[in-house]
Amino acid sequence: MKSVSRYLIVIVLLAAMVAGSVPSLAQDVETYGMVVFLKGSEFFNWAYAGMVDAAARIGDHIEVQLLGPAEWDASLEAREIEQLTARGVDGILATAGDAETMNASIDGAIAAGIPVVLFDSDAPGSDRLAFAGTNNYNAGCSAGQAVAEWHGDAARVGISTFPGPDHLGKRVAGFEDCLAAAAPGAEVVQIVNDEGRVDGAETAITAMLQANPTINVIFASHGNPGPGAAAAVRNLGIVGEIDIMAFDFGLPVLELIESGEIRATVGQNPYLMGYMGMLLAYGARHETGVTAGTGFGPYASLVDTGVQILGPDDIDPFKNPPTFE
Amino acid sequence: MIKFPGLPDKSKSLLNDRSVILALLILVISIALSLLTPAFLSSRNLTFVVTGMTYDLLMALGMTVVLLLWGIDLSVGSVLGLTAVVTTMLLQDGAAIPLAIGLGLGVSALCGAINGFFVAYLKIAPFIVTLGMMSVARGIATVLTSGYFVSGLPDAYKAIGQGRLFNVPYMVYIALVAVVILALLLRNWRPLREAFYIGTNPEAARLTGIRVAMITMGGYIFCSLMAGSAAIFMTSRLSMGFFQFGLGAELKAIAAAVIGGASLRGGTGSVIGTTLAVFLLALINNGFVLLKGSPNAQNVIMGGILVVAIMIDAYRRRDRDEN
Repeated sequence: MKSVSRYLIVIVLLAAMVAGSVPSLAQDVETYGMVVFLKGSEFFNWAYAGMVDAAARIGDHIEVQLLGPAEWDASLEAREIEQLTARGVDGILATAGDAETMNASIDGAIAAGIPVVLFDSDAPGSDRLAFAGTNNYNAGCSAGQAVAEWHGDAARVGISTFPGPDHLGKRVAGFEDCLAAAAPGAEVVQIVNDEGRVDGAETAITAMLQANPTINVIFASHGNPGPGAAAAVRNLGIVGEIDIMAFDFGLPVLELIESGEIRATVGQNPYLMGYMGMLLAYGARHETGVTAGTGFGPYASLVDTGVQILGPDDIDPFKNPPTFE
Repeated sequence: MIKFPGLPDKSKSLLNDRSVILALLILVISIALSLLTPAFLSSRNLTFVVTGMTYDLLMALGMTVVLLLWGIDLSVGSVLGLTAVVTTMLLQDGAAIPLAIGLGLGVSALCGAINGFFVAYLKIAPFIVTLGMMSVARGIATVLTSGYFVSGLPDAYKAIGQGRLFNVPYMVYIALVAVVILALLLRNWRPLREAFYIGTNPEAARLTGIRVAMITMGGYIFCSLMAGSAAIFMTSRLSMGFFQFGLGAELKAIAAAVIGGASLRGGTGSVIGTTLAVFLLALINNGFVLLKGSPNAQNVIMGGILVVAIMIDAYRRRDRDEN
């Protein structure tokens, strides 16, 4: 009987401890959401992998979620942000499928005291706290410096881009400036309009190469012209004579780097965007004495996640992108 | 043979006035370009001009038939994207090439059948129906791939777009055969000849016993199948599938068909005219690059050409209505 009552006392004490600890555990758990368009895409899976790793580095009490539409629909992203705001999550990372469409939902989250960090595609007109992404001028600059290393003053470059998007203009400007600085004798021979399409790039670059036989490098300012440039070079039977600098690392670009048709690509760093975005949101979530009164903890408003020039020896880690449900 | 009073039998004439004007324009531009840049007249350059226009040509031919029927198909670009994604995903999963192509084309035909059914049988405006299909087809292609490129296609499939005979890609021969067959059918095959009458006055055509709904639905299926064929060539040539393939292609197809002599108000259209118009637009694009024209001005000029063509069409139609 004595032993039974002893067991009962132990059980009651344990239950009391567990019951007492539940509220404190619940308080400790912090939830952060990442909202993307094209959910499931290679690029944003890399970004979410960065967020997951940063959350694990901060501690077990951090929970993260990947949300957003499978299609390119910023209005559905805005709805996800509104739902996260209603749930009262501790922080939101988002990439803007369309900045104007998402401004109101971002502003609503900030007004509710939830830190919002944008990554990859910014919404500068919103009240978002911070942006972690590629500095496009610097990205173009890295490509220009790499081309200068390849050919020096002998570089004769054709650029494939399309008019309109601001970030492409910055990449081209960065490329031209840094190529000129590193190799003053080098020359951008022609810039063609690929209309943002792979087949458009093939057609335009084929014509450009015929009109300018001196071109020995093609710089693709975005993801589509790389494979288009490779097709154009194949068309003319000059594989190996033209060095192609692609942009981003979709699987076709990696395959063409492996086959030697593309020499290198400008790899953005979506993993770091997610990683830094998580750290920024966590920092902003926790006020310190120094930042008291702002409603948010310390954070940097702009983080350049940089690029890496990826050649055949660098692409292995990117061949198997992470997958998430 | 049913005759509509006052309506010239344009289907009989392979070279209508518009075609002659286009041919002359092509000649003038070709002479100018050959004088301005030596690269233009090389057989290699001309081969690539023709190769590059193949996708646009197939879609413009399909659009010509739909315009002939007083319709419009805004979904051709999205159907191209969806067919590209479906076919390449099947190939990536190990499906046999004929099966993958057959199912890909089946998807495009289904899109056309849905368009045609809503337009022909439920009498919903083609603009609304095909705008909806444009969104649905692109949405499905996006969801299927989540924005991923589809790569790793078998070499035998790539040979369709990359293989050559006498240094000219196979797909150029196939497109030319399509042009000849469609031109002959438009001249001699009763349902296509009746399409002229349907486009001119659908109600009158129905009263004379023409199967308006069936022919209209067939026109939309044909148009989507041409977009699907363009997808097969594009994916095999570029060795990949992508959900954004065909983005904006509908505008190019409409522009080429209208410049070639088709009317947005139905009843007219020419296979030869459309072919020449696609060639003219490809020449202008080619010349632009060869002459190092500003990329910013390129879109302005192409848009300007379309506006002029539509103005000429409106003027011609007004002239016809007054007569």
